[in-house]
Amino acid sequence: MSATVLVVDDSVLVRQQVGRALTGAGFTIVEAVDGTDALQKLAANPAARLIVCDVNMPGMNGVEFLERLSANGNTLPVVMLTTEGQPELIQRARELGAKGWIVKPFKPDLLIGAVKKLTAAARA
Amino acid sequence: MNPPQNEMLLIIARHLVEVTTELFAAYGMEVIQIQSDAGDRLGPPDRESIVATIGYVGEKFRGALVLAARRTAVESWLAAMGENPETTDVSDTLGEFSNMLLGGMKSRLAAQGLPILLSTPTTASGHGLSLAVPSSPSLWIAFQGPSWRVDVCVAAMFEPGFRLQEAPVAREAAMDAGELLLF
Repeated sequence: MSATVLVVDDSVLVRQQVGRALTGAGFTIVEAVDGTDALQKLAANPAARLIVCDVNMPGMNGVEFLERLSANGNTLPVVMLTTEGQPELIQRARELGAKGWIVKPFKPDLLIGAVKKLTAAARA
Repeated sequence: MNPPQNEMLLIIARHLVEVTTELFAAYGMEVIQIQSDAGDRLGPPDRESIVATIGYVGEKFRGALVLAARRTAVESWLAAMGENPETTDVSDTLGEFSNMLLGGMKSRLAAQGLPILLSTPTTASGHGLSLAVPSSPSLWIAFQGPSWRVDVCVAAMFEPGFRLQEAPVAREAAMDAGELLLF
């Protein structure tokens, strides 16, 4: 059975690009438009094995979403996919439990490799 | 020293040119001409146009980036990116490009003593759109590809007391577009 990945981004284009890359690699995709939507989608999809999440989103942003996951004791691996590349922000996400950081525009092969590695590590 | 506003605007515009060229290159598209204040930004009113704007704020300065393009231009980008222009939201696409441009500029500006925070993009589309001249100092730059053109306006307003912050020489460098880091 393919692993389910939750893709959180307010941009339809990005969700589409990430979705195409990951479904092509055998993953199942669930989409969310911001952190609040992502929390609801996670509750409705307990089979999710990894989250790919933007940082700057209207509503609940990616860092706030990480804070909520951390407070809830959620241990799913999260890869941040964002235009941001500032070390302070990356460090903050890391402290909140994020497992990876990719700066847009992304290379599909790199994203697929990271998702495969992290889902495999989570299974082990 | 407090550099003049026009000088600061030119610094921001220089980063904009570099980041824009790199962004299109990352998607396999070539910018073949860059022109300052080319005029006739949205073309005839019978053609559908899209405008995306994203704001930013720093210490004692603030501004916005505005992208204006015809719908057909953004559709040609989508085709080049392997997306279906008929099923993809073209307004969202221009908004995401504005986000990636300002995101790319953020790292470069921070390294130069101009750290900024970004808003999220807002877009509008339609026929006969008109663009008002911003009240703050601004520059328009037209980027042209083989079959498309996008006009980008960078506006910046500096408040009294604005100063370049100390360049963060010793700080860890920001990640660049396309880079991956696993923890």
